Amino acid sequence: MKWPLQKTSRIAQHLSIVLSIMLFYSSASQAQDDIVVIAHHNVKAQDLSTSKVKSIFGMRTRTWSDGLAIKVFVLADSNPMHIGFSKGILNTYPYNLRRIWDRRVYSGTGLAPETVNNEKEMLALIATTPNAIGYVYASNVDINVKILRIR
Amino acid sequence: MSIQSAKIGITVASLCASMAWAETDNEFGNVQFHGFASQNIISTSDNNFFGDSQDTSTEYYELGLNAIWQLNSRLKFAAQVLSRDAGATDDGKFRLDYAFVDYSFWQTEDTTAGVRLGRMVNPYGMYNDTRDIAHTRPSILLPQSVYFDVNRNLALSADGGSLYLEQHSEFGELEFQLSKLKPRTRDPDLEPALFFSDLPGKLEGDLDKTWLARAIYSYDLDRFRLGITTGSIAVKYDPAEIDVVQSAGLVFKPLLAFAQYNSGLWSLTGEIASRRIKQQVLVSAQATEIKIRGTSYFVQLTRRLTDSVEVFARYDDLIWNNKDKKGTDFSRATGLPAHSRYAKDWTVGIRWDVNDSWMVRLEAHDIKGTGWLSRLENPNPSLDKEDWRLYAFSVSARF
Repeated sequence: MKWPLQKTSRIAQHLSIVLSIMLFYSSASQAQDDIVVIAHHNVKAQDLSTSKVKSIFGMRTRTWSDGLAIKVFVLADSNPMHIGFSKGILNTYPYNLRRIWDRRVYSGTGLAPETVNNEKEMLALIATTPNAIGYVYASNVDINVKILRIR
Repeated sequence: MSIQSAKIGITVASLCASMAWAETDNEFGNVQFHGFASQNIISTSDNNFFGDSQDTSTEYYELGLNAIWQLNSRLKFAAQVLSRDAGATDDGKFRLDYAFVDYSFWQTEDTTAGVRLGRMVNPYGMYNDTRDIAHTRPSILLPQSVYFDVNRNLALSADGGSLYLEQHSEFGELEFQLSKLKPRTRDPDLEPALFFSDLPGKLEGDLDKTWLARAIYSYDLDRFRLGITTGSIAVKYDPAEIDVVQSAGLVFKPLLAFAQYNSGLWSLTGEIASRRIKQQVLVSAQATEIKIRGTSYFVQLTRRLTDSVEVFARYDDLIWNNKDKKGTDFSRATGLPAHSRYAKDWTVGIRWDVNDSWMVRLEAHDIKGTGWLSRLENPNPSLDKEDWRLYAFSVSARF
């Protein structure tokens, strides 16, 4: 195939600009706080595999083993604890989760998790909503919710 | 018209953003409402795309609202209404993009299988499912070689039934969908795109010959995502009482494959489509049949710079006929320009998520070929320019 020099240089020009922008930035490391997954007391599970937690917060696993619909609570995408939870426990980024939820929501095939305003609200809702799952800082867990260990 | 549409878009976008997350939970189940709006500005060096873009066009906006009502763990309803203007190729009228009932008859912790009935989003490739929601697109304009905006309604959704299966395991998630459909044919641009001229009859979707199947595998919250789509989409021409065309039909058989790798900060995406098109026309008792096979593909690299800024580069390639890649045979036979049979589009762009609802984008396209231009917007192909540039700016909101 003929590949004119002019075209090659145009492509190279495009690529070099993009790559130089991309490489200029490097990711900053972020300290992790101790975040735990919590659930309503009626949830039978005591622990969850990492892949199960990912599947639940990715809104793919939609029922507990007894067939009851899981109710997922999260904090806003930009909330530092949500960022910590996404990176530390799910090993992903908030924008990736949002992309996964958006695909379901806007095609009408599934619900998004319910967003709560703060940790206090999270604890109160998990305590009062059957089948609920969420997360909080370990130091703030109270007796009204149960901790799900991650295997 | 254009300024008015811009105003409407921006006003509604602000409304959407100021509204809080809407959700209610009661004895009738769980209802969620989501909305989205986007206003775009497009400018081209030559040729028109979504309005009179050579003079900068604001005639491209999207405004939609969707609702999902989960009655219980097995039954849900979903619907979306949309108003979209896109130059001459769309008219801004509100319409129902989808409305369906979803019943999952088999549900365990790891498996969900069910049936959907009504108007549903077509399981077509990677981006079709949410193609009108700016936040979910990788760029302002989707790669046109695979996601022609000229026949958006036909591509987006159709009426019929669908079976689906979702399987979770330690090795990843598998999603399968099989749909039997009657295509939507109310795209202003569809007839000119298929028959080169506006005819008095109507195009109708052909239920008997239309189906789509898609399988998607994803691993570790989309670290890897692989998908394949195949099927057949058929439309037939219903002639008017006085019509030069006695019968006509078109069958489109796509085979698409996509792959995506998301490493957190980097994302590499590729999709390829092989399109077989069979077109039959009966004019004055003389039948012609055209069979062509074309190829589309794009490769896209995205990089997160910060939590809210992302840049991307993409190469997108369209060939209408694999046997006539440069369009020379076509040009010799029809007298129309050869460059209308291909398009090679280099795009770079930047996305800034201002906050959880608002997003701003800017992108530049360097294009060789006019293969995906609308005939309604560029009525005289011989005036089209082969080498052209397109710049787009958008402001989008969602809740």
